[in-house]
Amino acid sequence: MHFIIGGAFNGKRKWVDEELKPSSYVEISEPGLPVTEKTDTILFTRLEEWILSQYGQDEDDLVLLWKQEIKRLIEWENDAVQRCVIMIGTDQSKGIVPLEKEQRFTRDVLGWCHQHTASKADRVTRIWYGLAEELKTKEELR
Amino acid sequence: MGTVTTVIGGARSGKTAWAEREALNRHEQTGAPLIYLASGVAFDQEMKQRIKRHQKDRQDQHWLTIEQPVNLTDAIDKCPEGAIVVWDCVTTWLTNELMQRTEKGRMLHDLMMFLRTVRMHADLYIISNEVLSEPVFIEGFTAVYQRLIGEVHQLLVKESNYAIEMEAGLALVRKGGAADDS
Repeated sequence: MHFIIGGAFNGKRKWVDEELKPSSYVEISEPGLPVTEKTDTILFTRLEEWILSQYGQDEDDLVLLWKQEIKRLIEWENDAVQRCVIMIGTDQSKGIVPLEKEQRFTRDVLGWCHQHTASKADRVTRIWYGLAEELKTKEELR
Repeated sequence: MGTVTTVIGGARSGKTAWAEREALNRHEQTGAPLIYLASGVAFDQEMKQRIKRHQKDRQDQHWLTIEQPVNLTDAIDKCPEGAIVVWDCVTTWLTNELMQRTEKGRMLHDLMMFLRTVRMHADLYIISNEVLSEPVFIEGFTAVYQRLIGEVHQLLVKESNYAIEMEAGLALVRKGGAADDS
């Protein structure tokens, strides 16, 4: 699994398209959605929107759900050599604490989910206005 | 042909101080005139104080200040041949233009025109604020602003010889460092 993290409108998806060049991919934005056999690449995006839509639920339950989703996607990836999971995460962590309760909820849950994603990913890349910085590579895991 | 350096960082991260120091070093080596291109407008007491603070930081030095809150291309002719220009900052300029309801295409055109013309005969330090590491707004002025500033920052980083991310006064070289030169 390759995790791409960076602020909003920093060119994350553009970097994925231009540098990773997935020939085709299926994009999902909600945990648990059925994964088709017809693709080699799954692109997971807009996690923050899904979290916001779950406002009112228990935070720990949501993080647990996310951990299960990561497990499921990694298992799918490991089923065939050419398979790849690309996760795009929009960092929301560095501003003023948001005034709205929903936004604070989303920011917190998203932060925990990103931490877990980064810990399970083979590769973590940070995108800063189109420039990539490798935060973690497979070599470091050994 | 001059060089373009873009510096992006949070509020009070030391962006301006760093750019001014770099510009001053260059000035001491080459004797080139120092230009401070200011886009901030003193519309209230707080802004007046912010501007005063920056002015105080520059006193005793040989800066020529050009005020250019909007219409960036008008500043091109005011930057003398061979000058060292510090533009402070992209975020205030963008705010000023948006308040005037300037079209996006015009803003991007002005920016590119300014950058590509000035770099032909001067060194340029461009300062901008990091504002995209927090939740994005879904609608309204701020949503438009966030999308646009992201696009502008990507463009600036692409065009620049050097791109610096400023963290608590530390300049992290994201582009144009020793690794890129080798």
